[in-house]
Amino acid sequence: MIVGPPTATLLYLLLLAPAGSAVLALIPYPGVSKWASRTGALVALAVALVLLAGRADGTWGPYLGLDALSEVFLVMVTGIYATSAWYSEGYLAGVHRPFLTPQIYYALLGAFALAMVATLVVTDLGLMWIGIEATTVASALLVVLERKPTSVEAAWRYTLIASAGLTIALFALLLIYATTGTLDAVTLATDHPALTLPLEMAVALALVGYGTKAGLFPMHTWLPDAHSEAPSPVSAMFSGVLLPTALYAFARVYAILPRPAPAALTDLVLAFGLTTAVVGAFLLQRQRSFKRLLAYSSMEVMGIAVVGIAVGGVALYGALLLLVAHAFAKSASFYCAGNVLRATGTNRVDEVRDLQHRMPRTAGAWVLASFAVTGAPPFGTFLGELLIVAGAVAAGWYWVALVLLLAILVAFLGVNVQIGRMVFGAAPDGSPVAPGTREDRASIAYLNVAVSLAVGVATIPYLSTAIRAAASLLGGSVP
Amino acid sequence: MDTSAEVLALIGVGVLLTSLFLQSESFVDPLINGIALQSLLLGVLLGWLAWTEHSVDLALLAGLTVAVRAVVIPYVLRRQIRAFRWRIREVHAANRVTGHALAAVAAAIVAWFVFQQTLAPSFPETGAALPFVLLVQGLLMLATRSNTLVQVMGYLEEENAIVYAGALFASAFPLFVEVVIFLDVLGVVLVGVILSIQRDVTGTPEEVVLEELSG
Amino acid sequence: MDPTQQVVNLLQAATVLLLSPLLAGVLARAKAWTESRRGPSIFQPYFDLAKYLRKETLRPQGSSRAFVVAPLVAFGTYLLIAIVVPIITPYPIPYAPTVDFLGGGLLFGLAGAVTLLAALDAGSNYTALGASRTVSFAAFAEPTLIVVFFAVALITGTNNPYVTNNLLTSSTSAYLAPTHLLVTAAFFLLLLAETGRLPVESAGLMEFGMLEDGRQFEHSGRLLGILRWNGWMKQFLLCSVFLNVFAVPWGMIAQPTLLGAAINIGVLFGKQLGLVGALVAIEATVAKVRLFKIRDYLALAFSLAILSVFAFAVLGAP
Repeated sequence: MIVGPPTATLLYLLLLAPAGSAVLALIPYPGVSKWASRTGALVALAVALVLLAGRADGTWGPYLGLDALSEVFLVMVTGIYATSAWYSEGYLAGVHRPFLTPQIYYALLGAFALAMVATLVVTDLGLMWIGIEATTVASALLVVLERKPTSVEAAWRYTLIASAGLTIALFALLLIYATTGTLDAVTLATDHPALTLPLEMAVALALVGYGTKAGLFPMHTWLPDAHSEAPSPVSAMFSGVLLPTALYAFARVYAILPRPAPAALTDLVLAFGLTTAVVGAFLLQRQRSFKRLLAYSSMEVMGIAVVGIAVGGVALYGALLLLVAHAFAKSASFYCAGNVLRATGTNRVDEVRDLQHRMPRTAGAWVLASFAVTGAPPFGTFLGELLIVAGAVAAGWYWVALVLLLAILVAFLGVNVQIGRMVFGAAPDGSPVAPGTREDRASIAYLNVAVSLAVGVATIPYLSTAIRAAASLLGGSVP
Repeated sequence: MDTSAEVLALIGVGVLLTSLFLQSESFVDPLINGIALQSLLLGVLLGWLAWTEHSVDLALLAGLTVAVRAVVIPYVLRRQIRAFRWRIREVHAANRVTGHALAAVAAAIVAWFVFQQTLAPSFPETGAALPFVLLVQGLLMLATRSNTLVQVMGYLEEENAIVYAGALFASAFPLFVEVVIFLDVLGVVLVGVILSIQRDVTGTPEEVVLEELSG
Repeated sequence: MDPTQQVVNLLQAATVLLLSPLLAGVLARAKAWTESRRGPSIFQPYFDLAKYLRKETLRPQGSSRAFVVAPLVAFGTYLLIAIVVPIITPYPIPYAPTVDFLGGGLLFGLAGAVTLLAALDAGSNYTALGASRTVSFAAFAEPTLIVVFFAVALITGTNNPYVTNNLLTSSTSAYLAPTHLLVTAAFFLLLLAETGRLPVESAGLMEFGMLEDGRQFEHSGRLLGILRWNGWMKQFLLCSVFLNVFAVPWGMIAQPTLLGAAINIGVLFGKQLGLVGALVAIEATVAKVRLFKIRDYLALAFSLAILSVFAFAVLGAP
């Protein structure tokens, strides 16, 4: 157990690692940016794991603090950051964009990760908001640097919609401060200020605001654009950790409410979650671009997780499991998509066929990953979704469970049929993928899928206990 | 009504009027003047509050609001217009002035009604509903306009709403100045970087639907 | 009843009846002056009127009695309005309690409606076009007028224009209240539209630009004279209400004597001259908007009127 000052030092190291890597990455010497980024990411991951293992809960100073929830999310964020940093090399080598130099790319990647890590280690809701907004700046620049008309348009929509939504979230924070006189998440979550209409309004506004960033319907419109236009490793971070981080910020605001939360708000959260899940599941059916397909699948998963937050109890635990397992599985999916995109030069589902023979390693990882993201047993996502449905049934909300099952089923079919066509479909003549195409780091995808699997089937030391602790912290129950 | 409340009321209505103007105007040049005027009005309001409350924070905020959102960002936007002549007017908005104006009024009333139902008892300040109304106006502008520069102005309007709200009923909001500085930086980055890249890359009206981004 | 007040009442009606052509003449002359023309005499409307009244009246084939009666009914209606709204007295005159603000609005509406009937009854395409235009824009103008009345009623708690006048003269904060400023602006926009000024309507021989005049093509002789007179009276009345109840409520002598009322006529005309200056300045600086843009103009007026009520709700009573 590590307690006291060393933990604070570790916390600073956690912030310093991505920041340092971002600064060092700017050195214009071949290979420096790559290794700076990889080292920074690995250091951050190691520190996050140590913090998780030590369960170093507590607060340092007025603004910094950790608890089980933030520790779990830190492992998620730094884990995906590390795999993306390792994966990026191949992707960067494959694309030729004059402004997407490794220096700028890795520096922005570090800044993006830093913004998310900073969001997770602060206890002040205002700083948390700043962190989320900072992710917008860093990630929008990553999208725009592709410098295609579509990516500029996507970055524009993303920035504008996300910032507009976050302004609403800031308004919510103003209301919270005006009614309670503090923005300290720890104080607010332990003291539970008296429930007043302004406070309920603030939580509802925060749901809309952070929900925009998490891709909840109907504020999701930026999400598929940004995902499909961002570099694949960045898309992995978008789907895997950025959306959950936005949900994390909302969960912190939601935790202010006394338990059980007022019915009107629960219903509102539930409504947003359910519609997002259903709309995402149905929209992904008609996608022609596989990256957009994956993006809508993320939207569907976020919807299910929000339902988990609304239902509470065991479903809350399920939601956390789902988010962790999904983060690793979805990032694996995007790495595979990146490989295919690089090899074929297209993101059209129709133009990619017979991957099983042409890119066997990537194809295998992709099939596994797409099963993992859609909640097939025995992956962690299955367990998570099962617990959420069970929680809904236990709470007596049968129709919620029914709608959820429908969304899960529809999304499962939609994603896997499309991926299946790409992997197993017979190739027409002149298909852009030649056999024996170079496959970059499919092993990373396998690794991430394995993590997603492990979350579902095994008790991972420290992580599983931390997830349970986080669920109880938010007022959920653990089976 | 005492003098202070009267000043708040007059400036508040001025802000409301500028927001109505922003909704119904289709040419970009007057829109830029409109948003500059709105920021200036807020700057005056903040200055007034800073003076009556002897608050250095608010004075700083007043200076910042005037400097960044009434001067710098309008200047950058005007330069953008010179680069994009085709963006000088939003044609389809020009044909829907009545609709936009009435939608603005309707949105204001709805926002006020929501405020009245939920927040009003806790916020007795003069015109406490106005920041909320302004926020909704900014959102409406973002939703109804397709011209990039006009959307930036919708975003600026939202930011103005936040500053207004912070000044009116959470003037001791910690980190408020920092948050606003951050938003301003974001605004400048938004306007500066993305728009200038957009100029290099596309150079075509963004009203053209990008087929790849549909669905 | 006090006989003096009866006389004041008659005096007010006579003021409207006799001074309204003069206001139109001054306006025409001032406008000519901004265009570097010498312009007609300010008494030209009286000469016109004398000419019209001497001429014979023609009635189109197929028109009914409405063609003849309607202008007279409208004339009577305007005269009725002239004895109930504050024009030369800040205190209610004997017939004032007949109608309130809303009633006044309804009387204006009645006069407009019967004029419309006359235009339709003429059976000509041109008058029908004028009538249809007027009605399509009135559909936007009248809600504005109603909301303006609401706003005024909110400020004072009554629908009595005399009370409004008194409140505004006695309280600066009521005058400077956002609600009042907005409602004044809305009413001014409406005034421009209703009296056929730029940017809504350009008077003259260009039939594309006309709304009101378009309805009068088929009338001639005395009836045309009456219709013209109606237009001038309407302009005079609206200007008086705008000045006394909204923009410049001060300056009227409150003594209920004949002399006071007579002085008030001078005061009123002084104010009207100021308003003429403003109107001419507007005419000289703005261009006419396209016909279909008039809707936007009226929507703006409507928005301002709604906002005035809104400001009252948000900011509270002044």
